[in-house]
Amino acid sequence: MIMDKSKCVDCGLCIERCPVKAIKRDENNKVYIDRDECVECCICYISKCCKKDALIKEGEDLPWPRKARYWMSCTQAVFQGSEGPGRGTHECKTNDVTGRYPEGVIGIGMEFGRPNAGAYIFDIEKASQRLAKLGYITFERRNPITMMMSDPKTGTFKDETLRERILSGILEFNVPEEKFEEVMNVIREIAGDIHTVFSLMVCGKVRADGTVPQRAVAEKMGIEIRPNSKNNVGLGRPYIA
Amino acid sequence: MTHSLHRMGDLEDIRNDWVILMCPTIGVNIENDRDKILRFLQICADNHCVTMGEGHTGSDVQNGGREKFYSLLPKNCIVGEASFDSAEDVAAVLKTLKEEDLGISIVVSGIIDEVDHICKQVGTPHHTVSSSLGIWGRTDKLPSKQVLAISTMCGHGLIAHALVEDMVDRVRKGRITAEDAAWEMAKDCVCGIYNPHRAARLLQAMADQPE
Repeated sequence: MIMDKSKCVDCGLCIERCPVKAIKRDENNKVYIDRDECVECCICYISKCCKKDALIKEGEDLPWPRKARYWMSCTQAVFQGSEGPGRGTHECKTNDVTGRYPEGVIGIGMEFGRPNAGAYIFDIEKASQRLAKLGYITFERRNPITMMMSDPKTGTFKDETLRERILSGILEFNVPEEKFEEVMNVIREIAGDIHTVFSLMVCGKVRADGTVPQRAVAEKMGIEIRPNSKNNVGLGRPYIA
Repeated sequence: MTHSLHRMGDLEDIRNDWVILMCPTIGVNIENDRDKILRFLQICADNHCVTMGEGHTGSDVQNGGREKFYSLLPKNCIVGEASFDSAEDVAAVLKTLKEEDLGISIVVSGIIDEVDHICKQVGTPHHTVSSSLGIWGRTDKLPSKQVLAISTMCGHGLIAHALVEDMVDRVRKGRITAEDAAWEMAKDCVCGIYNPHRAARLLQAMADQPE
């Protein structure tokens, strides 16, 4: 995002609109956008909070690698090859049609930067490289974060992207049920080694007895599962039981 | 992507916080799905949904109301979304969706035991569950849980914590009502799953607390 200072009257209405606090006042009380911290989510522009049209959205005109910020952070951008605008794929939402998470498999999504902390790619790479070392992790190929890797097998990102900051990005992968505890221990280590936060999602197909695979392991490890959840209710067609 | 499983709040608060999505599968049932997504949204509207949205179009609030919003839906919609205040309304929507058999995946976000009860009541399978294991890492960078209860309602993390805090301050000083503040913040949620009714309750509760 660019601020046209010839139009800006320094009212500051945009400051509180920024989810990553990239719009600030300088020592002279003038409002400016910190380009390093701006994740190009464009919500300051989309919300129409500026009454003077001083905010300019660069969007698709951004050069690479800065354009990665826009693709990952702005809901009006679609990362080519991904499933649509957003930071990940449809995950469990279409499992009744895709069969992406069959019985015996647990899906994991680590959304770095959420809620509202933002994330640098170098932090996400710390996580992806640690997970890749397990030897059995395959990152979801249709996910835009995976598409930014130079080598998904090692979880290594393209060098030029490492200093780019995004609103959030999701590492998505499946693990066999019997490996879930081991992966959760690695995730615990990752959490202690990054400069941001991540929201952690785990998903599994409901078994015939009504249980889900992730619950027993999480309880055994003393990890709280929140009471609210996202649930596919099996109305998609063609239906995979 | 909609992040609806990570909505934060106390149990009694989130008991009245529901989201339903209609999510087509790329390469299977997304081509020309507009009519089905529109029908889904109309069923939601008939059953008292609070807000709604579509992945390419934005929310009804951002687009100047529902009729305008419906007219802007593209030929291939990426997802239809709506927020609700009650389990009864969600059950009614699911019952109609089952009867109409539109053939596109439906996702319900809410308290898992209540979702399970609704599935049994309506007769839909409870197929897959996405659970939230919370927030990890540098949680010292986060604001209060009360602020997060509002900001995490936005499916894409676009409601700024500073905006929530500013609105609480304005409500406390009588410059804006909690309802108006809640609907003002709805302009920043592009997917339409942020619930202004719930946000208003939370804003008022925060404003009523001593500073």
